[in-house]
Amino acid sequence: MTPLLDIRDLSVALPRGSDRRYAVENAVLTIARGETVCVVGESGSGKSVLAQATMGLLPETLPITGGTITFDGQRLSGLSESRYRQIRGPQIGMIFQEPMTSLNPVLTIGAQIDGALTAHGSRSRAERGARRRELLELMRLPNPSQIGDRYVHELSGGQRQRVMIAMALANNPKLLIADEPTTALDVTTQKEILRLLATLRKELNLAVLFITHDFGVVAEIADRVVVMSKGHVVEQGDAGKILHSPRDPYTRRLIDAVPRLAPPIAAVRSNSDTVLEIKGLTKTYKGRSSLFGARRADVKAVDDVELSVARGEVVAVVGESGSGKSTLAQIVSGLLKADDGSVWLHGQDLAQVSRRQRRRLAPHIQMVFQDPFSSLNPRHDIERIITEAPIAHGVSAAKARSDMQRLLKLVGLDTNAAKRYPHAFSGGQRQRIGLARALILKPDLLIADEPVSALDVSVQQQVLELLADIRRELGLSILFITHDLRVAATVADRIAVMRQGRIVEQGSTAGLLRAPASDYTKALLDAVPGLQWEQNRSELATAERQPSKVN
Amino acid sequence: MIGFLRSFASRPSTLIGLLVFLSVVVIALIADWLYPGSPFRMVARPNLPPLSTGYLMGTDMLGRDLTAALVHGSRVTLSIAILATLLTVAIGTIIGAISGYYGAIVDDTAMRVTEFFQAIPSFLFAIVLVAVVSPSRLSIVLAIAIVSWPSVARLVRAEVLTLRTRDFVRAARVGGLSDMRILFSHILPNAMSPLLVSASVVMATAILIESGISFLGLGDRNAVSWGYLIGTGRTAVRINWWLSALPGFAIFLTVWSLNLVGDGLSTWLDPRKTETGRHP
Repeated sequence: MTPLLDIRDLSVALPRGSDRRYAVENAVLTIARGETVCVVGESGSGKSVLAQATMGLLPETLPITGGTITFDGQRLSGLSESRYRQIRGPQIGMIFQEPMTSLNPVLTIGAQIDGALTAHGSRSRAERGARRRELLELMRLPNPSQIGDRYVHELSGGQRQRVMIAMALANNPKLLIADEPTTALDVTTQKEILRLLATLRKELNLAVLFITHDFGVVAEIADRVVVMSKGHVVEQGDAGKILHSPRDPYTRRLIDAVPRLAPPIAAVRSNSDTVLEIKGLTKTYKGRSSLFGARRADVKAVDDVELSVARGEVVAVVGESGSGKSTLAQIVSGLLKADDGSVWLHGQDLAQVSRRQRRRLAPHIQMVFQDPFSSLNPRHDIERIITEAPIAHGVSAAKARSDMQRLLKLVGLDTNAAKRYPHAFSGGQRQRIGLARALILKPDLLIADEPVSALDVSVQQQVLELLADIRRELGLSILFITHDLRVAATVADRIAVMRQGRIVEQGSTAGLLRAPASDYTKALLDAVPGLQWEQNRSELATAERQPSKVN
Repeated sequence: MIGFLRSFASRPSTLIGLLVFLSVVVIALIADWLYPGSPFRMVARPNLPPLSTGYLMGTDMLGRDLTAALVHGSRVTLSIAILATLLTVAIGTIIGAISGYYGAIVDDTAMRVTEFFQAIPSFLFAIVLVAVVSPSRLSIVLAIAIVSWPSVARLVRAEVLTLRTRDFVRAARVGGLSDMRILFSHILPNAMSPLLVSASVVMATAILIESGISFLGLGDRNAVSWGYLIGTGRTAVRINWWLSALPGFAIFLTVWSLNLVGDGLSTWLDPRKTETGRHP
């Protein structure tokens, strides 16, 4: 049987002066009817370019220089724009990462689905209305007969993505291209969307080209997997085979870099003194009353939180977006003021000290930020970035410089990095610089606010390992903020789960993962993509380890 | 700097603007060498038309050389415009920075004051200020600065508001640096680009306001400026039109060149252009 989509030796050139000549080079890919193929790769691997090439949406700066794309017996590469328009929609649908920016905020979602329907085919008004209802029902949206009158901002993130899928499927395409459709969503929402896609492809015999960086997601939905690196397809084959016994070394490295949902073997639980103690902490964001319309309700971002961190302990605060975990981090670091409650550092109440005193205490609590691209001042060189704070706190310039050189080595950077500017470094390297900047002040507590969520898996693994090393070496206490239970499981001794400003559960990592007490933690754990794969993997790992023990 | 020049060279309009403005500056600097002595001296027959021998732009009704007056006038006009721009940017930056950085009541107060100044038509306000105080170059500079700072303050405030939430500024706060240090070494240097662009516009406006004030005869009577020349030539515009037209053309040329430079600066400093290199 001929495949539905057949990409042969596709090459897409990059503009002159890029770090490599081709965005995609000699890529080969086929998708059969009703099949789900996942294209996996890190940022810059060319996976999105592949999707755009198939949709005929490549910008002029990225021309196709070789190979063919054939869809359902029709050659797509080199097709005129007007002919392509008959392919997009009725033949191939596409959904994107961020549904909020892909939908028009001033039109109701019903009108937008209607637009997708009118663009192709000449249905009557009544037919379109019926089809719209049918689609909304198919997407399992609540109140399908009324939700069409709503605007984008009235829907949740998951509902928006469902509307996007409804629009993509409006004209019964045979292929759906999904470019990281769940990356911007919370895990529990991601799970629902993945489940929806799975049912839809069965009901509609839909082929799906799914672009992702997350092997957990791959394990959930893929029939076949295509692994890309630097524009090349390095390996492709059945999902089971690639996920369990990858042949290519790059694939193996990628898969090994996925953090496991199992606690590290030796959890260091010290009974030493408490570094940080949070008591009854509360922060409310006042709802602003606008000139028109009703006053918006207050939001309790942090609600009566109790948490403590012992010396040398890593405590992870896990929660979905809007859970208040970042607000908590900002209050502890002194960036925000709490409304009520107290933060004690070594038995000193930080809320009671003056502004000036708080500034003097600043070195004791340091922070690593999420976005490596905005966390370093682009106009300062690395030496200034790292040594500015210690010099301001009275350390001599010479001492600060020698400290900096020691720390640059510790975080795995060359000492000649000092004279360069942030733009010369990659995301992972910048996170290392940010870490050096925090550590030079010899903090008692390090707050890490999603320090790896903007990084690729392999870089993420390196940074997490570095954090573990440093923590062992310096006996650092870390408050680790993350949305990713896998990451939390690999770094933390204890985990606190937050939801709507409250800590719903906290306990040792092993205990919490093995026997979660609250329903919410159970749901969170259940939503982690690729759980089944994970279990098989660890069984395999233990099976491999046992014979070696006998030997 | 090389990138700046290359980008300027690649846009002819910006290059022309820069050349015109620089030549005005050079003429102002060497005015005494070009036309030594006071431009108020009567040197030739009155009402000589332009292109007369020795008097490129002719003479006025008292036989004063218009070319000399224009050259010396550029000095007065430019010095007032530059001083007024510096003062405007200084006031606007300080108020905008403090307002954006501290927020809350400070911000509210500063913005209400800013709006108060913005609500008054700026040119009329400047005239009133100069008329109330004695007309001198200093009072004109002050008047221009007082009416122009609000736009700069609003711009700086907006920049500071976005920059203060950036992680590197947060990192500086977590590092325990003082507010002044965070403002001056982390926030404001990153707000330079839009500030430069707006400074070029402020300068163009300053030239116009100064000319307007001098035209109305409210300026410094002892100094020749372009606006003053238009004002004195106005009475005889039907006999010798060039007395008003040529200084007017000089003002037009300078303001136009400044706008071109501002345009060039904003394209060169466009964040989208510089960001692309960082987010491949």
